Amino acid sequence: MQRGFMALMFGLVLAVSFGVHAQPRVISTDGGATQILFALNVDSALVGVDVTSALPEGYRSVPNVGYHRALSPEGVLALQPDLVIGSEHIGPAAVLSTLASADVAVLQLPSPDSVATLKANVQEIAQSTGATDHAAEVISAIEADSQRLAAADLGAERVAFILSIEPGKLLIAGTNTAGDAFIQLLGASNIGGFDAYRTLSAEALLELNPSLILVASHEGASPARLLELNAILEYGDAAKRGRILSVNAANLVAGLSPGAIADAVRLADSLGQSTAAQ
Amino acid sequence: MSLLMLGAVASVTQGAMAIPAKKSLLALIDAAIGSNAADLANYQRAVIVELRLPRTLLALLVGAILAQCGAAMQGMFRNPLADPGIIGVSSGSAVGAVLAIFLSPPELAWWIVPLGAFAAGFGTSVLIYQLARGSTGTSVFILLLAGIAISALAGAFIGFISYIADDARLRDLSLWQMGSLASADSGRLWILAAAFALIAWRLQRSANGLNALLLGEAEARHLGIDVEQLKRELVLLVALGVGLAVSAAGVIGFIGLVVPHFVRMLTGPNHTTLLPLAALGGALLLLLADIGARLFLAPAELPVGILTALLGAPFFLVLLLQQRQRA
Repeated sequence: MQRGFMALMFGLVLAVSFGVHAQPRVISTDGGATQILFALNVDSALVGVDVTSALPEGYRSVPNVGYHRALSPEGVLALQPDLVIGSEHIGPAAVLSTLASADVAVLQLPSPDSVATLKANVQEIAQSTGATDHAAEVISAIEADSQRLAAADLGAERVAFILSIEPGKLLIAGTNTAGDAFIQLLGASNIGGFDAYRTLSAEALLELNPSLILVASHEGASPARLLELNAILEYGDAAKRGRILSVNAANLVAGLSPGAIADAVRLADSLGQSTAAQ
Repeated sequence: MSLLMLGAVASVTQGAMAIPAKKSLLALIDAAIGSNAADLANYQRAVIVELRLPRTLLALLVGAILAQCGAAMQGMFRNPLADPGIIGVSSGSAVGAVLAIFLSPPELAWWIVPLGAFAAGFGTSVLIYQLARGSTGTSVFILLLAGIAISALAGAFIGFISYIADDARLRDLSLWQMGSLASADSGRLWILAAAFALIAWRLQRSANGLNALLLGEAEARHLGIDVEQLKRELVLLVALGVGLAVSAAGVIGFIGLVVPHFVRMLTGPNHTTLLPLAALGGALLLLLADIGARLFLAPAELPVGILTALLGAPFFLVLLLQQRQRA
């Protein structure tokens, strides 16, 4: 009896705090978190996103709150959110204190650099948006994908992840980058033994001679364009084996995302096929 | 002055969140006398009293300080293109801030960065002043050249730090360099208000000296002005003002250049009126720019430095062209 009463009260409190909305009003200030909301099928709760969040083509327009490190406290509050999801980088400090004074819940999650963190983030976001029934599904899909990746056995690949392909200014992912997290996801090794992103010349990259080159593709950046701008890379192993491939950059803006996992599986599959063909 | 009042009211009542203007103003009175006439939710009151009001005051103070310092520099160099940027104070401050962003742990950045900006800005001015001081007095020419050299050095240094910084800090660096009034808090406001009072008072006292300097240094000396003393004081005041302004709001360009120039075109070069009018104009321009920065992309926010350049530069060009046609 008492328990039933408590549950009723809790339900009432929830209903009151979320007002007339059946779902909480959510602002996502992190591209990865936005993808997770879509995967959990609670994207209808979105009332605001940041610049790193890519919405599917033709999706309803959602107000943009700007860059997650330079949010406008008033702008965020003006969307009357119940919950703001972001990474550890959310700021400036005034945003957090204003949200606190307006009793808006803030969910800060680490930028995922591993499948384990990504799964934990899915769990957390599911819990705070009331989408727990979908969480198990999403997590088991991620697990299935990572098993598939493990089976692909790409351990021998020495990978270069290129963020920007300007001639003579190749921006290569070192450790502690989303590009490195992606290489780890493939189970391969990163040729960039340095910290963060660093510019290398095409000559230096040829000297490192990666067996696989991943190009973060966005407008104007593709494997073909990389070779066009840096023709010397034709002499490297990756080009000779036809292993200069593209990765969707939008999936890696905020660390690993469900989209990045799907990308990795697609990539591993196509590599498997090319090995079989040889 | 009435424009300024109007601007301030607009700044407090307009923003990304729709709150009736009357209630916004009532909320300010409530905050002052502890009543509750506005009848707003807690978070709405917080938006007005804790976000919009300090921002408005910061815009007024920073704008006024930058424009006054610009007017003083232009007077001292007898060159309408001089602004605090030209003797390297702004770039010195920027180096301090950039270094602080790069080295300090993010959770301490909110006070280390302004401190770094101020210390470096002040240090730069003293260094430049020492370089320019010779046996025959301070050479404005050397001051100018030293400023250009220091600016170039600072640019290279900032470039180097940007190059070795990781992505997150790089983004912080570039945002900081575009200026923002988002970090207004009462501590900074008090410091800036005190600095503004000091600078406005001392500059006003130097107005006659600055007027005499317009004739040339030798002439000013003949008029009984202690030119060395005056220059020393001006450099220190500008260093203090610009260092503090940069530390509170990042790099905000064009105010120190455009506003005094504009006022001079309207009222003539007499510093007795030029200095206070420049302060009013600077305050107004930065206030308008900040309102624009908050509303233009709402709910997102533009760095205000972009807006001051967007508002200031074309305006400046039109004025110059008009003046040329008249001549």
